[in-house]
Amino acid sequence: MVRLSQYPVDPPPTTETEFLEDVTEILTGTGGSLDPDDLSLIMPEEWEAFLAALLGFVSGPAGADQNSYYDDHSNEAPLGEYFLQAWSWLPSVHQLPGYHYYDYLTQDIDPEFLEWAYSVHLAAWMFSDAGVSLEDIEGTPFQMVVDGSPITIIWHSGPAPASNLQPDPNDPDAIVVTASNGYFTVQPPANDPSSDNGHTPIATDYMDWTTGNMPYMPFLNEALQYLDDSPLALQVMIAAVQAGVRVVIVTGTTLTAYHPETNTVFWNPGMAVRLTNGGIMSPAMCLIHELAHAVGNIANPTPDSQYGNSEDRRVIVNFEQIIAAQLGEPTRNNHLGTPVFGIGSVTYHTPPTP
Amino acid sequence: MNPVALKALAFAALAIVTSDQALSLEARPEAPASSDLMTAFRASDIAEIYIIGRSVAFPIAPRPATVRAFGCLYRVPRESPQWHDLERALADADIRMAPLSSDAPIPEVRVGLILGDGQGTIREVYTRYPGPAESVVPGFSQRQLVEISASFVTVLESFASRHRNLALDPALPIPLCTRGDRPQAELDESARPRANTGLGPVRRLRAG
Repeated sequence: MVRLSQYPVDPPPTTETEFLEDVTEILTGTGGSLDPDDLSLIMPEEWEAFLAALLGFVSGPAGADQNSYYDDHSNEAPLGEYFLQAWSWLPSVHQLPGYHYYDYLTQDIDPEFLEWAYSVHLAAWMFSDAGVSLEDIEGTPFQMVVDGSPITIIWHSGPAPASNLQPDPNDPDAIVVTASNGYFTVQPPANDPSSDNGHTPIATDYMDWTTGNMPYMPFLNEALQYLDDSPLALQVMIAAVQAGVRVVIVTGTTLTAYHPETNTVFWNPGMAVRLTNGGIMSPAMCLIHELAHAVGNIANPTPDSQYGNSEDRRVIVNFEQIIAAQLGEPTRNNHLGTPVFGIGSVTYHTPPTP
Repeated sequence: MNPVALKALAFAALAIVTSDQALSLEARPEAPASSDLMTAFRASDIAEIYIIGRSVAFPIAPRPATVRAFGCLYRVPRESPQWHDLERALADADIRMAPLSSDAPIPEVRVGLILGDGQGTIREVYTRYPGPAESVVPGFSQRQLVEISASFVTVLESFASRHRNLALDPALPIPLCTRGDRPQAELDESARPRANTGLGPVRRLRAG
């Protein structure tokens, strides 16, 4: 993989001209070129090398983990602000839930999303301006590998079924990228926990990308990101995805719950629990409590004098107490509490009980 | 001996009394027996059974309000053909209750029976599923802690399995109740998700 160390760009570019010069340097190093005619001949594996180089270019030192959901937020992507200015459509992308494209803590665009977005941008440029017949590629998947995961781009002529960067109504897993003579549908990298080094699941792993769900996806993403700080919670979240658990949002005074027959967690992002020791357990903890039920649920739990039933003993003792301690939340040694509704933050909780 | 054990012993003694003796307990509101429940049933115009599955999980132990909100509801009006089936099943089960000390642990509950008439609720009983060797289970009757014959749950579960087409879903985004093989075209109003007014059955009955 080509890394930034092979292409020093210090100081970072501050104008588009400087940026294009640096990209040209990168392309030269990888055998590519900014000439559209040449770009159209690049093979998928060469795209991968190019994008890897670009990723290194925007990520900083080689080896820095810039994935906004998994890193420690100690590094930064120096071009984040530049891209916000240069690609005016990127800010609107911030409104799109479900993609790990933006680091809310460092205010940087996630390079993994950037390379994906840039590939779309470049593909659109290549297909529309390089003399390639659009008829030749109509409906033909253009596949490439990004960070080990395949993404698929398909060109369609005619009017787009949705506005730019919105979900394709005919394929909720893809988004529409509009172009001058048609549109692309882009299937983003699949977030398969079994093959992505245990990365934190994201909202779309648990929820269908529907209009009704979209307003709530940021809440679910925030909870998943928060829970990621607990190694045990991460295991549970990944196992729940692998078990096909779905999350359905409930609101108002409806309790969070897990229904095993439909393998569904009904999650109320505004419901916390006031424990009998006075502490408040966050809505995110309620979520992981139910996801833990979904992983290894006892079909016929028996009564338990302390925890109500054997299944809740299993979940509270083996998961909830440990995860709460790892996240600095209060713990309990029973299954009691009072629901508190209208909580404004999915991570709100009181300090650990002494 | 702790109070819970004493109450359990008292219940065991109650369980072996004759039906005449049980009748004599009827006047003691703290110790309703089978005939007491049946008296309430026969004075009712409608019965509502709420059942939450054994494996449905919550962040906190389910309470009566949880049962009403999340349970599958089987509504049985007196004039319905299922009324006599329920009446016979409850009578045959000889269900008994005995009060528990107020300092007994508050149990989780998953099954409820609410009896009412045009004026409101006559009797509300909630309990949990019995363990493998349990003949009595803790629960609530009229908001008081009681021990109830385990057969209470068996009767309600059996009734529900015989009349799955009566099941009304909780007001949730996806249906949870199992309704059997009744063709969709035959599903009447009772098979639709019920409106969750949050008022509980008391006010619904009064409104009727």
